[in-house]
Amino acid sequence: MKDLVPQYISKIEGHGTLRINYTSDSAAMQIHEGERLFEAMLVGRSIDDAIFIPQRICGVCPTAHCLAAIDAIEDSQGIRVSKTVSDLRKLMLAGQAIQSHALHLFFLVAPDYADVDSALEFAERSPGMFHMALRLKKAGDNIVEVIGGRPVHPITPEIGGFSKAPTILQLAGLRDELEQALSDAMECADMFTGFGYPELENPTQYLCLEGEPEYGFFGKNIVNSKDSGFPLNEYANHIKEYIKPYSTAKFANMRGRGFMVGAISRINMLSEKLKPLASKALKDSGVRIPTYNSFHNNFAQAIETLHFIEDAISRIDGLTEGDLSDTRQETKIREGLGFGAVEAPRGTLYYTYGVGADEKISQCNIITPTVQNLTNIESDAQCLLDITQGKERAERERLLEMLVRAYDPCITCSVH
Amino acid sequence: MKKAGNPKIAIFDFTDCEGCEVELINLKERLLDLLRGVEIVNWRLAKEGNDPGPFDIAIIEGTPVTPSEQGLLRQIRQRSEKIVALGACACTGGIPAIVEDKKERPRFFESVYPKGYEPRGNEAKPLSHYVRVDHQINGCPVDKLEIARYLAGLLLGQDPEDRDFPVCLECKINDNRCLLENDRPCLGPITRGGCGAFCVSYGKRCYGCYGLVKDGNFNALADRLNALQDPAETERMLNMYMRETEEYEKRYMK
Repeated sequence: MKDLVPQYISKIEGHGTLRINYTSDSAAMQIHEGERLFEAMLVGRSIDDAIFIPQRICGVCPTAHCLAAIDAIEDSQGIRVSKTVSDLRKLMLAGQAIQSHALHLFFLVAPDYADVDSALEFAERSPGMFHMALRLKKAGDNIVEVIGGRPVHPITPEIGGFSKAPTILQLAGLRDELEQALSDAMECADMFTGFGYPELENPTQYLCLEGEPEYGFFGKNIVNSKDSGFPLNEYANHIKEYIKPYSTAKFANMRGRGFMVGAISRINMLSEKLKPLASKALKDSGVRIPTYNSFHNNFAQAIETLHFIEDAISRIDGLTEGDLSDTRQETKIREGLGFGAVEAPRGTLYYTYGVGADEKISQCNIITPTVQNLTNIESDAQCLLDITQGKERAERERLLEMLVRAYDPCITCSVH
Repeated sequence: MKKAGNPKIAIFDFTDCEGCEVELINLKERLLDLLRGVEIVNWRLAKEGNDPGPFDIAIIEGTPVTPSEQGLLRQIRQRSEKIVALGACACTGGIPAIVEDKKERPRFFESVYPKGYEPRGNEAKPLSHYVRVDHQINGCPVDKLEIARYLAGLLLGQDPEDRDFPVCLECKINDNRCLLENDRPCLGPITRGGCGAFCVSYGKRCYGCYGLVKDGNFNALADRLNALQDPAETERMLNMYMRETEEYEKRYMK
């Protein structure tokens, strides 16, 4: 009955194993999730399906998939949306980041640093912290629910806007909750500043959307810590996918080398765009930016949780001054090719959609953040193996599992 | 549960998006209340120390796409008193079952992966294709309140009732305007309810994610939809969440 206690790394989204060869001290990130073949399945289907279906790639970041898909289709059609629509989408993405970061930080990562088996143990051992985690998760969930209808697989986003817009009263209610969550987010940032992160120094290329004009969300240009970056519509020329015999997920590299996306990349590249409290928490932390320690990705996620709550509050203030009526537009579908991207919780999420004269999807390409990080996970694991030679095997294994969790890999996303 | 000691629960996930497990966690404080007096002995997503069973209740999310997942499912069945299928993938094959296995799957592998890739997955079917399933919590994603209803019932030793009314009933309760009466496609009449007519209430159509309702008139609705749109579009609407039904098989797979 060995299978019933799978050898997979626990507390990550999906099924993966970091296989270590201790004779050669080398690491391989094995991915076992079954293939779902989304990119092929979507071809020939309607525009509506092209928004509904790919959210189901990932139940942890469905809003990111939904909005990246819409971004690509709108690009193919030359559709411009109103400021209200754009702000509501950014608000949803802020909610998505808060939901996902809170889930990852407290339920999957914190047990590593508090030396417990499962976050469920926090409920008895540190009820204050446990309820803080639930309140943060709820704050993110509620944003997505108010705008999208529910916290997982929202239904309202569509081409040009929303099938149903929230009311000003609902947004005002959200704002009150977010104000209360601010102090939780500050406490969370403190807590993740104080953790004793293992040492690791392995500089790589850090990539994220430039942001228009703010931190995160959407963008038409990608910045890279090592060079001048590239425009979104050329992403496929720069980010190359390849296969490994031990993985159902493709791996990606850039100019033949691994790179990193996600909270640590955004903090490294765009820290000057952080909101005041998040910016102050980052400065007070004493963590040097850019940081080349991938364990700091969790610290970066905590800083971002604070940032996105601040962003959500000010965005709601802007939205409630308007009238929320311009959230739909009639569209006539025509042939075209479009590129979309969002900063998902785990990094840049790319979508390409072709639309045929028959108004059906003619081609589809999706590159998820975790696919982009896989090459770098292996190179970090290698680095960690090199610097921990001489330590006990059990200790090295523990550190390597923590490293994988620090990346917050979404294996579900990676095999789509 | 009648046995002595706390009921032992295991939570497994096969190939899927894990959104239904996220909904389970979204129960938050309520989940803790439900789990009082229950022992979660195996849950890879949430904990490290996992137990090989036997289990009183195994909650399973996802569709077993690879032979190793299919083997694991059979092992879980042997070691579990009750199996609860959690969400559309486990109950209907879900989104992965859109891919037809014989012709499409091999072709799709070639278009998605570079040359030299060795496929692992061979089919996407509901859990009930392989083993006996005791209860189904439907939805894509499941509604967290439905999880609470089933869990509470099971833990009280009851047999929680399945929803056997169509989504249309809930549209009437919500006073939604009927899409079909206005010549717009919808799967409400043949789809199992319990979602509160969620999608229609938010301005979309019913996508059928709770699966085919008992006695749903599949053919009559398919004919009605064909009168409104290209029959190929009707087929696509029905191969999402309903491909693995006898009714779909009879109409489209001959």
